Amino acid sequence: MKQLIQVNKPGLFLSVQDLGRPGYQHLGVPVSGAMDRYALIMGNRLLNNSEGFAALEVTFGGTELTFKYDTVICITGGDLAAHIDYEPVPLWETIRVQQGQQLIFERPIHGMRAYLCVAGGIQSERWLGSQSTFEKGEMGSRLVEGDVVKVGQVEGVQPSLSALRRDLRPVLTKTVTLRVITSQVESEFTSSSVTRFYQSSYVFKKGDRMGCVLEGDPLVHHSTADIVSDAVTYGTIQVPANGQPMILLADRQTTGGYTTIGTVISADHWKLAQMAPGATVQFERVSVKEAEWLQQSWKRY
Amino acid sequence: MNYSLHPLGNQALIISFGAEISRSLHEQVVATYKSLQRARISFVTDLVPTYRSVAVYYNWRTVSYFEVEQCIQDVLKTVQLEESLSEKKVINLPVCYQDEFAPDLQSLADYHKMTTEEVVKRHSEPNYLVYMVGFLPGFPYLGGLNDKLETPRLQTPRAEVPRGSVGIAGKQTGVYPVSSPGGWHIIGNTPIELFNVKRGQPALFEIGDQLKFFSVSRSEYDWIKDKGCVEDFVQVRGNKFED
Repeated sequence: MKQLIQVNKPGLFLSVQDLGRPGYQHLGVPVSGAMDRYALIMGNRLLNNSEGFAALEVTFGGTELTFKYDTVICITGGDLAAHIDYEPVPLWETIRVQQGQQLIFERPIHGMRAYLCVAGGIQSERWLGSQSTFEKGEMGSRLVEGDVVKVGQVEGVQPSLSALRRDLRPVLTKTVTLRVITSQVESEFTSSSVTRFYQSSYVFKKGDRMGCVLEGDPLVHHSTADIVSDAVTYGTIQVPANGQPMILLADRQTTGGYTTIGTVISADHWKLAQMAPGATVQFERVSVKEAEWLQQSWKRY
Repeated sequence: MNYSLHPLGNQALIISFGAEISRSLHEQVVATYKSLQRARISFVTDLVPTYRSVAVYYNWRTVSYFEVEQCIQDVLKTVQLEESLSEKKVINLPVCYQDEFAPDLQSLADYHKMTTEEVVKRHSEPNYLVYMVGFLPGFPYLGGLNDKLETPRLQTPRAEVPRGSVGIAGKQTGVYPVSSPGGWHIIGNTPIELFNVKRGQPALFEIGDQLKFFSVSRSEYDWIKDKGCVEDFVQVRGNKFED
């Protein structure tokens, strides 16, 4: 019996993602990988997979998949109303699926991206050491109707069924607070507009895997929005001439030429992956030490 | 060497040398980048040199910013500036400047009140310097464009600029390693692959490389595309950088 999953309907954007391809940013290659790394890592841990095994990143829903063999899966990340044979599928828990069963991600309830992790991990071509799809760089392409995805062999016994502790399951609040480490060029903005940035709220307008655009009280540049290009990363908040923040995400460029106000800390990246258009966003300034402390929940698990 | 250290979120440390584009900053960046490469620090995942800085990405799940800062300060004490000049890779990049590859060559020539031949001559004369690689995989930011070719970006960017396109925007010239939307004036195309994930060295350019364009005919373009070997267009020189 071949270990396959068939794509009946891809939905808005369905792609293979792992933890990305670090080590090539000096050549202009973004790290890419899962938008919500917490979800990918936890799904893999629950399945006894290696943390970096590839999974399917399901965006928004409208996705239908058929399992061609019996296996164990774990769905993590956003709640996209996943169901199998009209039975809702719990998130953050491993479940058994049988050959011929159809998994449907209906529509976003909470969050925007779900991860289908499978015992053994998704198998696909590697580019520069990673299976992450990065279309702009011609490294793989999104999955389309009729595609068949291979799954790796499980080493040893099948994973026993397990579930993530309740307090480790992230839930988006109505107002999303993004914690920020300030940028070295914060002083390029007027201090009154920086104060407003941390006091007022913004609306999440739209986004893709490269970045997202917010709208609210504009930041005001002292002179120009353009700077001599500097390094940027996942979470970096760039501010072009219109003063509206733009947050860079997994498929970001490696360098950017706009003034930056700060970078969203790693412990909050999952929020960036899961925010839906219309969400209210607030920013909070934190130190590097606080960011490191907030990150500890990953190690504790 | 004057520098300052800053966090880039809790994922990287930026060693910052200044805020402008200059040969002197570039040399500090390259020398620092090389020293850090040689130091082979176990928790470093990426080193990203730019016009003005080197970003040191670290494994933030195993090491703290404070520890990284200590370690980087030690390495910075060992940086030797002369080193940035020691070895240079020179790439001679063939470009076909003919109409079918150059939708904006005529209008750019008209804008500057030159003939298209003059544009090609001025574009293929200088030794360009790769100040950094970014924007797209393998995309070189080049310094050295003739002032007389400086041209504002296209009013409306194109939805797709084909791979290999050679363009001018503002004071810069560059080559598109992959197809992408873009607002540059396209004046030619190279048959050489700038970026190929299957190659041992996926990107043709790295920071500090020198680049010279040379004009080829359509039939030469086809021949190179078909049978050419990237290595034939790359030389490594041990001598000092030529201006």
